[in-house]
Amino acid sequence: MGDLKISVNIAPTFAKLIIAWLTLFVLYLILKKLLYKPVSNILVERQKKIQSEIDESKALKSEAEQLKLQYEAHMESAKEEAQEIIEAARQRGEELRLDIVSKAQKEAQEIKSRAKVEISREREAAFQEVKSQTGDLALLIASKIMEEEINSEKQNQLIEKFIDEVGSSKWQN
Amino acid sequence: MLQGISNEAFVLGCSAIGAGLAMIAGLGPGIGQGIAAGKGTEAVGRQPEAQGDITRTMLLGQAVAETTGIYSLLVAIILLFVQPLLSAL
Amino acid sequence: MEIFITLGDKEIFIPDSIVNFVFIALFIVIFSAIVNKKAKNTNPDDVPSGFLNVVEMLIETINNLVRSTMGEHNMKFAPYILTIFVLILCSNLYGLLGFTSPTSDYSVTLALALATFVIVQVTGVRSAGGLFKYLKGFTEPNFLLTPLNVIGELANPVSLSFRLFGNILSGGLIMTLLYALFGYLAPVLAPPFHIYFDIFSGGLQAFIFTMLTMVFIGGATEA
Repeated sequence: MGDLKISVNIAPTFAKLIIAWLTLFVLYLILKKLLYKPVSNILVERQKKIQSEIDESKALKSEAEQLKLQYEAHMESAKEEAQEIIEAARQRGEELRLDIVSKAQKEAQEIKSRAKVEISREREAAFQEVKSQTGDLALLIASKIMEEEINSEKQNQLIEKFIDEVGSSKWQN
Repeated sequence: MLQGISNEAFVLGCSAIGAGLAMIAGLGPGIGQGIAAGKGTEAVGRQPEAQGDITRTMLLGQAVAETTGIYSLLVAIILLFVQPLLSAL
Repeated sequence: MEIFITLGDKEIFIPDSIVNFVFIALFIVIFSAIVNKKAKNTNPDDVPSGFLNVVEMLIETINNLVRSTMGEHNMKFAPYILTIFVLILCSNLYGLLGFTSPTSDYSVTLALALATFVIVQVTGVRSAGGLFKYLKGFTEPNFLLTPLNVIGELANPVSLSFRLFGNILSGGLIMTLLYALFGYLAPVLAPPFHIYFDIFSGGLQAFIFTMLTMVFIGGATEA
């Protein structure tokens, strides 16, 4: 252990103290200016930026939420409107249908009544014709049968009677 | 009995004994720091979320408790290596 | 590296610990100049990278520590805390390089502790609102306790400096003794002890010195 060299600097000397103080003081000034300020500036700025971004995203989020609400309300009203439109269209269609149906019924009624009138007139005409033709026919037949026996006066009387008979309901059956 | 021993050797030997005796004071800080560490561990077990604060406070307390041990260590070091008693001869 | 300065007929001996101390300070200045240049060229929007990131983390940690121990109103002390922390940490780790740590010279630790002491006293006088009011604080709670209060106040820098000095010096001494003991095996056996005595103990002592400085200054502003 001969090479063991141990020196202990325990007695403070004024020169050493002053040098250490000066070093500390100068280092403090330099570190404050060169290291602490720029780096903490960076930190502060970054924090500010992050904060502003957080705020911005919060604002955006609330805006988006509002938009979503608006959109939903829009959708709701649009749905309602569509429902209303459909309802109105249905109602109108129903009305139209009823209208058409009633019109058609009326028309049909009209046609039917007209046809009835026509039919009755036709029948009247036919009846008239049949009547006149029947008269003629009967006259013809009668004249053929009783050419000699009946004179013109009696003939007329007979025809009259016959026609009346024909015109009555008894004949119709 | 002490014949043949120079004054310097006598002082050096006594300084070494003194240094050894001075280091008995190392017991106190050892026990104290151990207790502090134990309490710190307990505290961490109770409140694991405050581990940073507990460790910091524990180290600080231990550092203060260490002061007496450091003083005795310095006395021992001075006795052994600075040998102030030699110059008093 | 030892320097003799001759002032007139007086010779002043500057031991290697002080020279190393100044050297470490110079190294820190160069480092901070590089960081400064880099910090000015970087955009705060960018993702931090490289050792600028480490420096940012260090400063943020110091800021947080100062904020939590001393309060928001004491943020102006953060650069001083940063300075002593970096200086003591580098000085303690300097022993790893095989030189004597500057902090194993009592003058250095005494200078650091006295600087803290002066700051504590000045802050105390300022926050008390006058020298007389500050001195009156020593007579509380009873004027009989004044000597005890004064001794308690004066013991702070002594214990602060001796704590750092004793830890680093004893670490260095034990390393020297271990090197003498290990002999040729030193390169194999010494590293674990270096990790404990230089890195762990050195870092812890730097942290404790700064923490105690913060506590003392914070206590002075509260009183």
